[in-house]
Amino acid sequence: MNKLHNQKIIRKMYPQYLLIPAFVLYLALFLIPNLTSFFYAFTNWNAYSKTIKFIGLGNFQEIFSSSSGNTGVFINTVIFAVFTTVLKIVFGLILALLLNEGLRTKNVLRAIFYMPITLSTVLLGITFSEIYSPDGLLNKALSTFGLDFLTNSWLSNPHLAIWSISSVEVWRASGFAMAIFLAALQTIPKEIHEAAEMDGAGAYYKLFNIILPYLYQSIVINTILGMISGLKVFDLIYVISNGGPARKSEVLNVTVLNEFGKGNYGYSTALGLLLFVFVTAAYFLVNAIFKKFEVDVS
Amino acid sequence: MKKGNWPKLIIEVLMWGLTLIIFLPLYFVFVNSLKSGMEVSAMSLSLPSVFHWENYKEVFQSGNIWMAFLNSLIFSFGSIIVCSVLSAMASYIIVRRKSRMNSVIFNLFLIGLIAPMNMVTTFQFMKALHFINTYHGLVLLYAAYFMPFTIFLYNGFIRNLPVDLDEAATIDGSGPLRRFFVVIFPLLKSVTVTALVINFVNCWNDFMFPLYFITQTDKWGVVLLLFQFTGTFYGQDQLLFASALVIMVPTLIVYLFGQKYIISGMTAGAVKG
Repeated sequence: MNKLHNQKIIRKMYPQYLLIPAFVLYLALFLIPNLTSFFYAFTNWNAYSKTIKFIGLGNFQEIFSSSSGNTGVFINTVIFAVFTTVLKIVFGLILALLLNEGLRTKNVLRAIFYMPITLSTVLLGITFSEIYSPDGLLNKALSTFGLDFLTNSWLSNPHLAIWSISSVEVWRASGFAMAIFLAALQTIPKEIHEAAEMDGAGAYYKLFNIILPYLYQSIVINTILGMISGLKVFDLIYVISNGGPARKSEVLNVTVLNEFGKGNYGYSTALGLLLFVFVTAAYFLVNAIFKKFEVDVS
Repeated sequence: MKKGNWPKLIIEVLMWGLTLIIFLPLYFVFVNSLKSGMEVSAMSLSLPSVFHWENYKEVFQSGNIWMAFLNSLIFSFGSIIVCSVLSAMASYIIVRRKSRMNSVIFNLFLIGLIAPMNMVTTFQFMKALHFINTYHGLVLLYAAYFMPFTIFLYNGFIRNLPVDLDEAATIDGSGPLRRFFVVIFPLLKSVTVTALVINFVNCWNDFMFPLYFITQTDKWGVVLLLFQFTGTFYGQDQLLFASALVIMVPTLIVYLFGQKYIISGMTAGAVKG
């Protein structure tokens, strides 16, 4: 078999045209629209004038100006992303480690804990708006246990709203993190556990010296996925609070929609581009940090 | 096996106790969907004094819930089928026909796993293509949006598919397209089911695309209708809860039967890294 002949067979067997429909669709509705944002973000494109003018960094100056009141939006977006990512990993890890103790109903439990992420965010919005309401379930429960001093207006208190909504995301997606950890736990060879047993290793020693190093990769994955989805968040915030009270729980993607609704297309595109920059930066940053502390188990 | 001083049974009971955290909010919605307007306002977990099943009847009579269900089904089934077929073909070529261009294309697809969509410029493209307020427009947009993940899934699977199968299929002299659909595509059944159920749930629950691209109420899916119900049923929480649960039924059924596929599909790529 000479190489040229092989090439010919491959070309015949796997024609490139099978790939084209998918790629063209993806190009037209995902890649190119997103690429043009690198141009429109620097223009005064809006609903009120026919002409589109290049205005350099004008939109970005306005976004970061103190009068725009956007500072809180960036802080909220970061709070949401970091807070949910950390807690999802903590709860997901605890659930996964407990489930991995050889329980009989492990698969049923795994399915139950995973389920919330398959629920519509609008349903969750309706549910948790009621639970968080001043005379809602949460305050009632706190009063029942004699913790009246802890009751609060969870969604109308400007300092609390973003944290309350972030907690819903933790409730929604901890099971997802758990599923990833569980899959990783199953890759730990049995012999290692047995060897540790033989040496009489304690539970703590096993956790920190055997299990966690094996879970390192899945912690990285969960951090990346959590940060990406956290920075992109839209539904939950929009449905529960629409960014209120007084923009105190607003996140980037909600601002994008609001500015789009006002007809400030260039400005809104610039906000979207910033989101792209943040997500990409978070991705590389998380990767770089974890690379530094890499644990090799192979 | 010595497990510290924590026998398995205690952990098992503890875990079942923890499922209350998941079930309580949903139970709360369910119980209150069966109460009278008066009783709902108490916001309690207690059972209704009288079960008002007619709340559900009322939900089905008010508004366009049947229309919305039909719309959601069109959007969901349309996009998951288009996405699976196109992604399977593309993955097959990306895996089997190694070239610099194909690896670039694959990486471009992977960007979609990370990059957020710029909604404003996407809106402009949808408008230019006359895709706003159309079924096919939203179906194609969803298909494009789910493609990165779906191609990623198919790639992992096709990589482990023996090449001999392709060669066996060439012998009978059929063309590549026919060969793909008759021989290869059926071999990808398990990963296709995985992609279908995951994308179905995501599409059914999606809120952002219809919010931007569907402005005619008669083309709304159930999720957008439910969002509108928060206003329509203001002060009638029992009806709001009932409609929220009705809308959840399809994804719940898909999850009940497909949870193994969903969980393994979502974790497959993550663990291999």
